[in-house]
Amino acid sequence: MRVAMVTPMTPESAIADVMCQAIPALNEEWDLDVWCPAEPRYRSSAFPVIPYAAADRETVDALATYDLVVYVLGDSPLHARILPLARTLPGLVVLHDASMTNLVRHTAVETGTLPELVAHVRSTCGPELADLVERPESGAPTRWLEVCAEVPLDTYATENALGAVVHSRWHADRIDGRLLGDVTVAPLPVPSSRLGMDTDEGPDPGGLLADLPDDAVLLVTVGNLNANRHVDVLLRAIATGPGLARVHLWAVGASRPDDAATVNDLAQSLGVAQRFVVTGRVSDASLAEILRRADAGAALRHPVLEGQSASALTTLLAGVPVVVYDEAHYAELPDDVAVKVDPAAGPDGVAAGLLRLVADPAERGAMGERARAYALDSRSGDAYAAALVEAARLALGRRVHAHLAADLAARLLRLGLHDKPVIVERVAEHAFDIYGLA
Amino acid sequence: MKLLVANNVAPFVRGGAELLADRLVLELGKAGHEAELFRLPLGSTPEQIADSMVAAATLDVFNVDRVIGLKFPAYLIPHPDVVIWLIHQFRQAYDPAPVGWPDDPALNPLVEAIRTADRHAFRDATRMYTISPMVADRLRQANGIAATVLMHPPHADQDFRTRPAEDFFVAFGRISDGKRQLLAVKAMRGARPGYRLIVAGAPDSPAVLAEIEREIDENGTSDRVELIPRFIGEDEKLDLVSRSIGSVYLPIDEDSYSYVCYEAAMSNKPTITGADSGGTLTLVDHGRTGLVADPEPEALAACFDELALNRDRAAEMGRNARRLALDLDLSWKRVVTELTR
Repeated sequence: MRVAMVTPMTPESAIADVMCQAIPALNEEWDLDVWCPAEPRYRSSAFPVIPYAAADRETVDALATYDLVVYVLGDSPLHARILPLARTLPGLVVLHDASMTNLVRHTAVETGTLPELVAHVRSTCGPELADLVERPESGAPTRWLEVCAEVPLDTYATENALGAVVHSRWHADRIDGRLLGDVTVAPLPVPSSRLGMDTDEGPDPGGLLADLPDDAVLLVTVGNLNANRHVDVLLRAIATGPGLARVHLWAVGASRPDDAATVNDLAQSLGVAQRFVVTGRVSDASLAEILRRADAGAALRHPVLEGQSASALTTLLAGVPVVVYDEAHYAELPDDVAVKVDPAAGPDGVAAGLLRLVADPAERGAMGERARAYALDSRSGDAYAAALVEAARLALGRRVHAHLAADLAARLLRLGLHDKPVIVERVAEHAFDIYGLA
Repeated sequence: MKLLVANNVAPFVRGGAELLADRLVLELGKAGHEAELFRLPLGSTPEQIADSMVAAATLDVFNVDRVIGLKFPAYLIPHPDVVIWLIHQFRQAYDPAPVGWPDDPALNPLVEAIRTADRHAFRDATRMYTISPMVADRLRQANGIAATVLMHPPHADQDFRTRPAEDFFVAFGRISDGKRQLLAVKAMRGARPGYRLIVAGAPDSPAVLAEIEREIDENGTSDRVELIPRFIGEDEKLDLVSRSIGSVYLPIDEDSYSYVCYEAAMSNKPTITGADSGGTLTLVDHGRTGLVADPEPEALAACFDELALNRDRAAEMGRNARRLALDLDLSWKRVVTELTR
């Protein structure tokens, strides 16, 4: 079977890293070509890639010659030239994020269709959210995160999909029944230890590690520093939580100066500045070194916008137990590899969770070992590829349904009924009855 | 041409629209065309109505040169050449209550869907005709569409006759709330003695008939109102009207001149109709071809009395009505020419 996988292949794309892990096994199942938006630089890989300049007719026609196209989508502009293809030529869509708001909005701006998108949001979600989608800067950064959760626009990405691959049961439950095809949960591989970062952008991590007191408990939160990483909650937790005086918190990942300044100021005001470091983006080697020294991890996200947490998996694979909020896909982690905290409990709840890890080094170590085993056993490029192959099989079975849906949609469009739920739902009900689609 | 005349169908309901469609197919055939009648079921619940729209929208019509659409949702059938001769819109979606549906969150989405589909179908039609000025006015107001009025001829070549008036009026048509025979029956309470009212037609439901019967019983007008609650054939109908003082026909906002009024006029009989009866006013010119009354029993009783007690005047109105009906020049030849050009 000839399959085209359309994925970003820039060095900056962590998604490309995990997709590439599946390619060797996929190549054994499929006659696979990897397509990617043309970029100045590409991630090094053991297989050739086919760059394309634009999501235009020529690209669609070329992709249409394959038996199946797999579109890899995440909520960033790196996927802006993939989304229009996914909407034009039905295929299997891999959703790395549960919210596609940023990608869809970015694409709408690029294609001059923002007014239509805003009108859609206005009609489905109301004027306040529509105004924010039109002008994100009119709200606080945290408000925009809420908007992304409330208006995920994921169905925009899956509207013509033959099927979808997601990376958690939670995400699957959110979209199942909202697209034509089946939803497959695939075990996202842990990002490789060779993401391609060769340099540290902040202070020398080696020096920082050397400066740590011997009895320090190093708590790391890995990933881009933004308002949704809840570093402020972690700072308040280590500042006030009893028994957490030895805990040092490191935010490991790229950060904008404003965001770093905000959390540094907060650490100062809480009196924990000596126990807090924003490392900035670190090299692959430094990340590995930091994780070797880390005692505990934290992956606090609320609202949850991603379909799975690559940073939490990275931390677990390093043998480091994590504290997470007990919701969304984080709740699916085994109870013996993660400490789950009620997101409503605030810093006190997080402090209590951290205390479990700090107070009992032996149990912490055992949990870390279980975390590593969990990551090794459940995550691999081969396992991910196997799930993609099964999803592709299901997607091909939906092709006839896609033809049916397209035909019915065209007939309704002629009379302007394509966006009238009172009619569309009747058509869907009859189609399900007649063709046994349920 | 191969012509598909598309009408809707509500099982076991047969009225003017059905007769018109049958006759149109016949006349198209006489003119040398191949014509067939296609009837698309239209239910009564919102779900059934939506399903009817879906059926129309998803139909494939083969081996047909032109579709002639008459009623909702049949004119939604996809075809590159659809000529619409609109009998009436689906008035539940356009008119104020009680003819139209009330403002209801459960119904409003369907109303919006019907109006949207109509807008697209009317816009895409090769040509738009309506069967009466009334329907054309409604179309213009509701949809902004200017259609050509192509008044429909009678559905049958009838043996009209005129006989001296006996002491009764006739009220024909399906017995229904919409035709308001009950109003005419109530009017007989206040009418002067000396004449009767004959109500004849198939009841829409047992309930509507029971209400009329109750009215007659409770008000002791059984000697003044005769009920013939069944479908009556052409000959019986024409015989009754030919011997009547005149005809009473009180629909609400009728779409066209109405066969009932036409048959009375061609029988040289005047018609009493309601001021809110719509298209009937095409043939009922107050004081010249009949009387137009407020839809109240007292006003109607006064009209009954006026004609019953002035038979010469009633006869003159009848003759005027016939002349007016003939002046309308209702011919199938013209209809066929327009719909097939």
